[in-house]
Amino acid sequence: MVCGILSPAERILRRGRPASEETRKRIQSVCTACSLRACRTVAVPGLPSAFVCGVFHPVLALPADTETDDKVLLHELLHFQHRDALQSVFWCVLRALHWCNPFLQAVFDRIGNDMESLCDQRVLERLEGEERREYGGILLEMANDRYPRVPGTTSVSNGGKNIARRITAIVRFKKYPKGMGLVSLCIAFVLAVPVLAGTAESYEGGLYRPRDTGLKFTQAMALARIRRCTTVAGALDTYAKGLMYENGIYIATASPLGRHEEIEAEIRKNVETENWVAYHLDAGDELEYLSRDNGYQVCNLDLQDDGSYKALIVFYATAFLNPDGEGRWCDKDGNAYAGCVAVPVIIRRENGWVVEERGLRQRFPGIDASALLYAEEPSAILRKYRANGERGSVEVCVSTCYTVDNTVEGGDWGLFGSSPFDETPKPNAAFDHCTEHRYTTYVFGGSLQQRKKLTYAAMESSPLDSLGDEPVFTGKANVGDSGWSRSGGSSGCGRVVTPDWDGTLTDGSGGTAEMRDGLARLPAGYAVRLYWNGKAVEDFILEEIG
Amino acid sequence: MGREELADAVKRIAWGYVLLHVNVNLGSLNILPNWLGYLLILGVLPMLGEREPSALLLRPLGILLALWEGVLWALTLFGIPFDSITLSIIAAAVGLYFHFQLLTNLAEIAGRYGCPEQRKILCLHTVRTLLVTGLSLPVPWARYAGLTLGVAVVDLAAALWICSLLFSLRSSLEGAGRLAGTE
Repeated sequence: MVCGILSPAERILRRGRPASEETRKRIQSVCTACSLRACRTVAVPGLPSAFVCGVFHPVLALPADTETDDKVLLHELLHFQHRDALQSVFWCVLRALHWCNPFLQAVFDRIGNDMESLCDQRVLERLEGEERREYGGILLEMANDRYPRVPGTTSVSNGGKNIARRITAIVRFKKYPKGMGLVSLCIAFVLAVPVLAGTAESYEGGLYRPRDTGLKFTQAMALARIRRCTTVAGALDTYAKGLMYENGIYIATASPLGRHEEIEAEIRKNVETENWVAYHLDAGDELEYLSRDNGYQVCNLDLQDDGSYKALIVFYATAFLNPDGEGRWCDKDGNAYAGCVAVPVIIRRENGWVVEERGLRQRFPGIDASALLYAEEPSAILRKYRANGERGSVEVCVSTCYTVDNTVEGGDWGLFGSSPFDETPKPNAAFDHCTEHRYTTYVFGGSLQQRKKLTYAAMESSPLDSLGDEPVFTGKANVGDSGWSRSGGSSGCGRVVTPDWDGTLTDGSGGTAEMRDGLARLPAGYAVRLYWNGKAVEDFILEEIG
Repeated sequence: MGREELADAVKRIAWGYVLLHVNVNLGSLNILPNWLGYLLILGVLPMLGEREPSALLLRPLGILLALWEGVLWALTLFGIPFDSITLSIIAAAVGLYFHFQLLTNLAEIAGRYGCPEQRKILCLHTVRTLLVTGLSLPVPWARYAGLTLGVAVVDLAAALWICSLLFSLRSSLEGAGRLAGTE
């Protein structure tokens, strides 16, 4: 009732009287059989067909003059069960709001018909065999009946044309197989989750390769902002490949977001003014002649107190740019210097991991990247251990080297073969291998008399997990002018002492390092045993120094 | 359609599943291609449809899946990279429904002939649906070696289960046919 004016449904209901006991029992039996709830029922004289009316206090109105079939009762009770009257009010409100839109009026008509079809589906799922056919027959009888469309009401009849469609659907009806709800949910999940959560796409699609100029630059930069590096190794791999292939998108992906504007401006300048293919970003004169087939290595990855890491990215160089900036740097015979270039970097957290260069890039002409770790270059040393004793001092310099697996499988494809190094960045990479390199130096510190009596000097070093550990030595003292090593990290060397001996013993060794939490596990110290003339004369316990 | 023909149809479906789950690669050539598996299944759908009319509704989906697998096979053979997340997701969704409905139809047939595999096939189709749904999600499985291994083991177990169950159903149908005589 609105403003004292009764709705048509209310006027009908006011003519009715409570349903008879027999009718109520029939309704209750239908509810019990189908696990439905019952509502208040009234019998209305002159009512052509049953309907449910009301949202808050629903009433089932039945014709008083004729007996209503159980299947019609089931239909109406299912409308009540699923609150279709409330839904009907909702659609009516929308219909009223869009009163001037004929397209939407047609849509709302279809919605109403679909509600009835859905209710038919629910009825048919609860009927068996011949009962379904009878249900269709009941609908057929109502084909010529007029039907009310009143907000807040539902009715089994919705017009002759619609009833014809419903009967066709009844003929085709088949129950959904068990589990159809589950597979529908799974299909919805499979379709919706990637749309809502996105997908972890790899770089494999060639989106970032310099030769793929089909991708718009702005889209590539946007992807570089979204797809960040999730691991330290991934950030280093992406950044290193950015430098190797002078790819600004790779570099942007592994760089802080604050640098993106600068990178973008540089790339645009290269594309627009110098006709470079997309994404070119100059890597600098130091990296002019890199050997791309050999890739790169990460050296001396070191965790800092603030959670960031320091490292060196070392590239193999087939040549270097001449200091004057023109051509290759050659020796007096005209041979280009080969060597390596070390780029000092910091890796820190920012929306994943990012890489920033710190300090100057260093060129090492004549020193291979592998040899750099033994070259006593201060910048290539991660840790130093030292001890002083009566007969001299011993120092151990340790470096580490990490690699990401960038081997390309599958052999050569194409006319010119392929690089053995995977040029696609791996922002989620992990280090697959770590080696530790140790350079031990003993400096003679005995007396002149001891020096004269010395004919053979040797030393043996062994890592210590903690400084209190008891070192284990093999006692190998006479090995000639050579060195040895064994698993567990022990190594040693010896030499025949000649008058021109400079008083030092040096031993370089290396091997696979044990990794913990992504970093090489370095010993707490080293133990070194000194042998003179085949006899052990002193043990040194080396501790880490500044 | 007699029981023997029905058993033969189930046998072909079982071999179809073998082809779908087993891949033997000679370089980039898969000599047990998935598209062949779908063609085997498509070939017997009309026969199944005589007993289960809803099986015929799977025909267009089967054709789509066969085409999809054929394209992927050809691209792999010629070394052409292909990475379309959208099409892969759509194929996964279509495949989910196709295999679910096919196994449901087979379960119905098993039930009709009193074969003991009916309940197992119904259980299988639920497990398979959940497994495929999980594997279709955009999770970087390959990042964790343990996870990759676990997924591979579960996948292998599911494949063996499907194939053995379907061959068992074929045997049951043949056996039931011999006991009952010709229809």
